[in-house]
Amino acid sequence: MKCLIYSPPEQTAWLKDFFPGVNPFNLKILNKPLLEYYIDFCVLTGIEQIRVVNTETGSDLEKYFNEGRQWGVDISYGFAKQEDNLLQVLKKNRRFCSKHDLLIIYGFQFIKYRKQCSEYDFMQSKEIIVSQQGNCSILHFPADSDLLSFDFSDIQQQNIQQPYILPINSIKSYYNLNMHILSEERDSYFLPGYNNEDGVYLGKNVIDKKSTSYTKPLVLGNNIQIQMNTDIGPNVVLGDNVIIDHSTKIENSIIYEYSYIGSELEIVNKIVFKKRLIDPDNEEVMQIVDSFLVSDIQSNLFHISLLRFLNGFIALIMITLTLIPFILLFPLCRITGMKTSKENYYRNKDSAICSCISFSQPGYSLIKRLFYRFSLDIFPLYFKVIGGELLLVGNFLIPRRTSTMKHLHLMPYYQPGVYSYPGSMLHNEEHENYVNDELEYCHTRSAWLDVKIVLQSWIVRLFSEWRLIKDYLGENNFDSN
Amino acid sequence: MTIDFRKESRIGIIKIVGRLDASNARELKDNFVKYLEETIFFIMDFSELEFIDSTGLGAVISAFKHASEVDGDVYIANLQPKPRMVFDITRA
Repeated sequence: MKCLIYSPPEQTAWLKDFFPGVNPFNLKILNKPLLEYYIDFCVLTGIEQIRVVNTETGSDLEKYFNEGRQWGVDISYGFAKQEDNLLQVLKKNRRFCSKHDLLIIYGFQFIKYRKQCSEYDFMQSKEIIVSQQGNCSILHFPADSDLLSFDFSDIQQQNIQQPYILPINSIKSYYNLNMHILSEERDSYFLPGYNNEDGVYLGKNVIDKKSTSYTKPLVLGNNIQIQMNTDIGPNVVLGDNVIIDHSTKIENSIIYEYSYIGSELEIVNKIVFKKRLIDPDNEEVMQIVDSFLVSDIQSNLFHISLLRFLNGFIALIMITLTLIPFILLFPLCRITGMKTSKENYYRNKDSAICSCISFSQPGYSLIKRLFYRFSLDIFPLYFKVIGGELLLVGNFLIPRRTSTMKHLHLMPYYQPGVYSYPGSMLHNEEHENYVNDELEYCHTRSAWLDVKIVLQSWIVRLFSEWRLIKDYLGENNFDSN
Repeated sequence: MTIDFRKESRIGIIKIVGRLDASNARELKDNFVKYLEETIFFIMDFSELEFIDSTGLGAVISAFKHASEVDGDVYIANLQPKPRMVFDITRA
């Protein structure tokens, strides 16, 4: 018997607001990916071959589940277009679906089963059997069924006692599912961690203090640090690599992996996903910008520290090189009408901002042209690099405006730098190729490319036509032509 | 962020619109000292407050402190779900 798993993108669209970048099948339920529950169910019911059909890049998923040997099943992966319906998916996977009994898990759902039970009536049936809840369903097709002529638009609901389906169609349903399993049905599933006491699932390398107080039920992942005077539980799920600082209380909450929870906080009835604080009751999500409250844990701190040090060091050299021209030209520019103002820029995709000095109304005099040709307008930004707020080379520094917010969402990540790939071609955020430039940079980024960007930025500023530089800096920066 | 201040009988109503964060918390602190010359009882209307961070929260607490020093008081009204989460987790 085989199993095909497919969830159309419209059923998982809500996830992007709360868990951006998480593949729906990788969404953790009590610290275990949803797909792993499906696999457990397949293993229980004797299914040996599983095809997971994705509509988005599933590299993380494939990396984790691989070919399924760890679970004793054979997992393969398929790809569907965003607009594909179930029939089209079946047509694309017709070879996989032929010759054997087929179970289709369709929709974004949780399958409620019992690990103690391995026989389900519908699996032995010679009829096509469907269990449906909302727009999610489980369909069983005997080997000789004509799949492609089945009318999926008219699925009749059958009464199947076990397993049954629980659609996960909102953050509230996701939260309630976690809390329900933890408090009521934890014995029905294989949950990660040691379980030598009812209601406590403990991962590896959990470090706490004597003053930590626990109230079960709890699921604690691996590599967790809990500081003194903390109250954890009841109904708490802590993901892998979580740090809870001192005197904090966590109750009825899910803390996703790689999250940091600051000291003296009270997290009750919430979900924390890195920097996102989610209230499942009213479905609100709040970006926390204060890293001492709630934040994501940076992996590879050594690499980040080294990168910051290198950036700061090179910025210091740039300051040294441009200090004298800046001291000579800036006062002259000021005398001839140049003004300075503070501009807010985005620092990351979470809309955190940094303020930098910008220069405006430079006019057209030779001195002012020299000021820009020698890239002296970016002189103050080097100090931001030393302060760790900006990179030397990164994404284009986008001014914080409502119209520019959309650019952030288009990029896989946003780490602004003094120099940027679009900037090295005099393309600003309003240029038609801006987004393509940024995407290309995000995907081809390397140390050598960064060096080339710095050199090219200087060369184009020095030798390009003034008209192009003027367009790049923005028309409104100039008081006359 | 914009701060609207109006006085209704003895109560000063401070309406904050937009984001109250590190970039503008100082403005609230400075303005509040001026408002204290007019009255000592305030309602902070947060119906259009979209975001607050720890510095913004600090400015609100500072307002409480200043008002209580002169036997006044500050009440918060219409706190929206998103900023409420920050008040909730910090036990403010």
